Amino acid sequence: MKLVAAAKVRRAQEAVVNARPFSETLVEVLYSINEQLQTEDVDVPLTNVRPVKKVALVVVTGDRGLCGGFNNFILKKAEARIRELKTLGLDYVVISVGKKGNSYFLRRPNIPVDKFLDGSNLPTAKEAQAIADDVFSLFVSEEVDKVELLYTKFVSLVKSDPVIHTLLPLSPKGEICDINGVCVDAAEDEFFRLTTKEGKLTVERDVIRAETMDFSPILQFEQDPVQILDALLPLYLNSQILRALQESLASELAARMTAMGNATDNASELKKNLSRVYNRQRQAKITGEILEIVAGADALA
Amino acid sequence: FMEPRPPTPSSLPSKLTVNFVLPYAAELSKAEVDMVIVPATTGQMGILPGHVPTIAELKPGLLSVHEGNDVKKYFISSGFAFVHSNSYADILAVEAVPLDRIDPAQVQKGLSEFTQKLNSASTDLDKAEAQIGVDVHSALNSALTG
Repeated sequence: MKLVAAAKVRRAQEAVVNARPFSETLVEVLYSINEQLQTEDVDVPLTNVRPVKKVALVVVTGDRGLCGGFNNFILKKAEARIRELKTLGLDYVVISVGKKGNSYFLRRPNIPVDKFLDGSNLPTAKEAQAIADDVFSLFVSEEVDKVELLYTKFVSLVKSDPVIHTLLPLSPKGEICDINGVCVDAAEDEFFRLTTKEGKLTVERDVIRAETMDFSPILQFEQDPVQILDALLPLYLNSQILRALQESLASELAARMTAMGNATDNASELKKNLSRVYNRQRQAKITGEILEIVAGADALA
Repeated sequence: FMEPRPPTPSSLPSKLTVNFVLPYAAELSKAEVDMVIVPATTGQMGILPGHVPTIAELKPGLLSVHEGNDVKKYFISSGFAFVHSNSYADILAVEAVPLDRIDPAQVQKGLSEFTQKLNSASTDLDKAEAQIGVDVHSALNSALTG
């Protein structure tokens, strides 16, 4: 199972890599529009900053077990965040993605859940769109004032980090902020690569800064820039969610790899110990029988 | 990872370099072509080498890539086209399908189905959904015939 999971991590990694040109180009377009609109007032509903009364939490978990503490970590983080929000006096609603999270929240009817969605083996733009649609309608209808995304960030094959990112309101510059207000520039992008080092599978993390070219002052807009921004931001939202789903999947697979690897090692060791005990017993019995026979022969002789 | 674009050359380049990307894959990466026609919301727009830098939003329609006598046609659902000053074009589509993979019979069926739904729609939501279906299918239809 460890090898199956390893092959799947590679595929998950490829999916992230393939999705990269799309989101990079999207960020570039976003940047150039912002350059042009610096003096204008941008009124796009997705970037509205309102005083927060209700928060939506999108919790991404896995579909299956046998992955160690993966699902547990993210659910514990979700619970901690809910407690925090309660002490701040804020209302909350949960959108659960993934069968494990779904069954967890189903067993706890005291936590309001807006929607249950199943995760999948290969997150596509379609699944991300379903989540994006739900989140979009909740935010634009002013039912919630802030949307946070809880997913597991892929750090290395043995380590993954549950993180909380603020999804909405989007900053018009496309910055990605986590709950502590630490913002990462959208042009800066971290990505991981599954490689081999000294014959062992390892992961290398790289930070790539997308080239933000000098923008031409004669850049023509076929449509009104604000209209383009309006159409662009939902697409950007979608790519953010897709990215989170892909990273979560990769972390889940890595956790499964480690858990199954450990299980295999433990099983081998157990097998060795048990064989040893078995052989010892067998030898002891044989020795006993030989002794009996020898003693019997002696007694006769 | 994605190499930075070369600076604007002083003379007009002879070929247009196209990056056609989808959320899950890059359909064309740095392909050197003669012309690309994109379905912008304001109408069909042709992009030749040396085109002025432009940002355009795309509507469902036919995207054609012209290379010499070779024409590759795709039907895209929507997206953006971003032309840079050094004859580099980035086309982002949410979903794209090569035209030969579309079944004309299905398109006709879908079009008649949605037209019927539009006529019998009662609520605004139903009307809107049916209208979207009609728009996409008629765009598909004209893409197949045009």
